[in-house]
Amino acid sequence: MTLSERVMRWVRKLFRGNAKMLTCQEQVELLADYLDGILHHETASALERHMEGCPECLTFMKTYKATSAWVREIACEEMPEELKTRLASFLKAKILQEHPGGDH
Amino acid sequence: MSLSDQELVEQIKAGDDAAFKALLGRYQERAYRLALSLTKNPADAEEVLQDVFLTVYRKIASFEGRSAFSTWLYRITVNTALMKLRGRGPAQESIDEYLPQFTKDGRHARMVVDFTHGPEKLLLLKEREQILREAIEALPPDYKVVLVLRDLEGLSNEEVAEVVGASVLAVKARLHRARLALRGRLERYATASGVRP
Repeated sequence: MTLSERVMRWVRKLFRGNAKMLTCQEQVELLADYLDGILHHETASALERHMEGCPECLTFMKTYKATSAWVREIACEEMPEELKTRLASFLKAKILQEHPGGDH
Repeated sequence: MSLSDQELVEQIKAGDDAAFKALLGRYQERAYRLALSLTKNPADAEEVLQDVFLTVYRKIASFEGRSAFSTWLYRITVNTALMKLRGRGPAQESIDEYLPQFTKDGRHARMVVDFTHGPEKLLLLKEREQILREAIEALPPDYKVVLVLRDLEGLSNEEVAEVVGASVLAVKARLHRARLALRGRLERYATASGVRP
């Protein structure tokens, strides 16, 4: 690393130090809004800056994101045909009981 | 061209039973999926479904269409399923132990484990699904309802808020905590199984 690179790095670090620095806890609280893309630009940038220097938060985001995606992939059981038949019969009988004059 | 929900509702109000059958056919699968996701028991889900559509038939006259019919149906299904869950007693565990822990200065208090990959490939699809199903089942009802409606049924935050009668902010907060708890359970499982980044 050259001297100028070192100086630039130091300046960037100094600048970051003046900006609002997020803690890991704040980062986790903001994660959902960040992934939904609804965070204010400055807050999103602060969150990204935090993650650049925090491998744990980067991993946290990766695993949080994966968890949400996996939940959406869970296969839902289809309604069995015989249940549809039973439900229709149940409702027909109940409705007939309550409204004997109906055409159910 | 098929009739809209509102048109079918008006026909049911006018005494048309065929319209009720059409509405039943249109929504029974969605209601079943939701009831089963919440109760995790096919027999309970069937009873919930019976109660739901009987309630729809009995109360359709009072449905004014201020919200979508689907929202109304989801609300009845959620309430009926929750009553069923309450009948089982307080089986849900606290989610706090699965939420991330922080030090006083806001840093992670525990190691954050990357369970999305690993040499042993322990979190295979089936295994992962099983853990997630158990984790969803163990969520407190308020969290479970929001997660199921949002992530399994694909409703928007606004729609979920309307179904559960809460603010969008409250829905988002519950959803976030529910996802954090599921993430925590996967992490714990991966840690116990020896998955390392």
